Amino acid sequence: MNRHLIRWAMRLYPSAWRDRYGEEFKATLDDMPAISAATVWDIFKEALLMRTPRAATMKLILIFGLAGLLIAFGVSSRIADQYLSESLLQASSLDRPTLDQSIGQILGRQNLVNLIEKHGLFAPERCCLPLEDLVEMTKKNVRVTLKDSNIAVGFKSTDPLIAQRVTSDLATMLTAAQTPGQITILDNASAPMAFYPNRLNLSLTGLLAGMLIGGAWALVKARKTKLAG
Amino acid sequence: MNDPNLLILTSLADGDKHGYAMMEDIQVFSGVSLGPGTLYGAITRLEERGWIRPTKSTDRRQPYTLTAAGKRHLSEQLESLNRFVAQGRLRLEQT
Repeated sequence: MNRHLIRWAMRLYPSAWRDRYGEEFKATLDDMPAISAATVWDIFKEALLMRTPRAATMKLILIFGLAGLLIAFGVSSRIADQYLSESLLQASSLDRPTLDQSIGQILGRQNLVNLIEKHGLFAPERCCLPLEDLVEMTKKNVRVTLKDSNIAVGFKSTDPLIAQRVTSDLATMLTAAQTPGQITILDNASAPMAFYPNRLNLSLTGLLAGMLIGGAWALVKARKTKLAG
Repeated sequence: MNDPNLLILTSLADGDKHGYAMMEDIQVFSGVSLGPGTLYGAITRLEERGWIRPTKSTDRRQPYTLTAAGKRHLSEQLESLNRFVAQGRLRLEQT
């Protein structure tokens, strides 16, 4: 029974180790008059130890992980918070093509130019970028989601107040795009919520990436040492 | 004293031995019963460090011998143990 267990436990050893020491290890076991449970445990325990990364490897993984965490946190701290405000509207009597048309209308160039001017959007970029680029940037920051007869319209901005005001304007423009009463506002522009960057997620990603790089570095180092040997 | 590395180096100090011979020898001179897993884990490390090396053998049993670096290391370790023992005795006598 114990000899059967030992054969199984030996499979847990790294294959390179088995190639090098397997035969003489078996010879040592054959020399032993009896195999006790303590011997089986000893063989199993050593297999586990051989599979556990050594202290130097753990140290490298930890150092790289910590560096990754700090870098990711540093970078995420330099990214300005993005806020999103949303308004919920209802368009029960409108079909989808008409709704799409209304949405296309409020995202039209002139409407977006009006929003840029009214709210002073992208003030730092206005000096250096053509108006068409600003219009595109504004369009990208508008979020429209359709679900059944409900429309959620929102705006993303680094300024929470602007996010809320532009959302409010977009909702009003959408109701005005159709005959009064066809689109109604269910919820006014919500209090802006910071949604990006998720610093915890970014920091944890940095930690994980660092640990992976550390592990890879340790592997390369171990291989180089083996080749040199 | 139950450091497998030191026990193996000491066992090989008076001549080459294979795995089971080392286990028996260690049991006799130190009273420590090394399991085969622990023994071969330590043999792996000692060989990696260049303190022991396998000798030529036609048998499945592989004998090992102490290298010059292994002898030096064992000597240093025993010196350190001697100082430790002497210090311990001295302090015991003072009390």
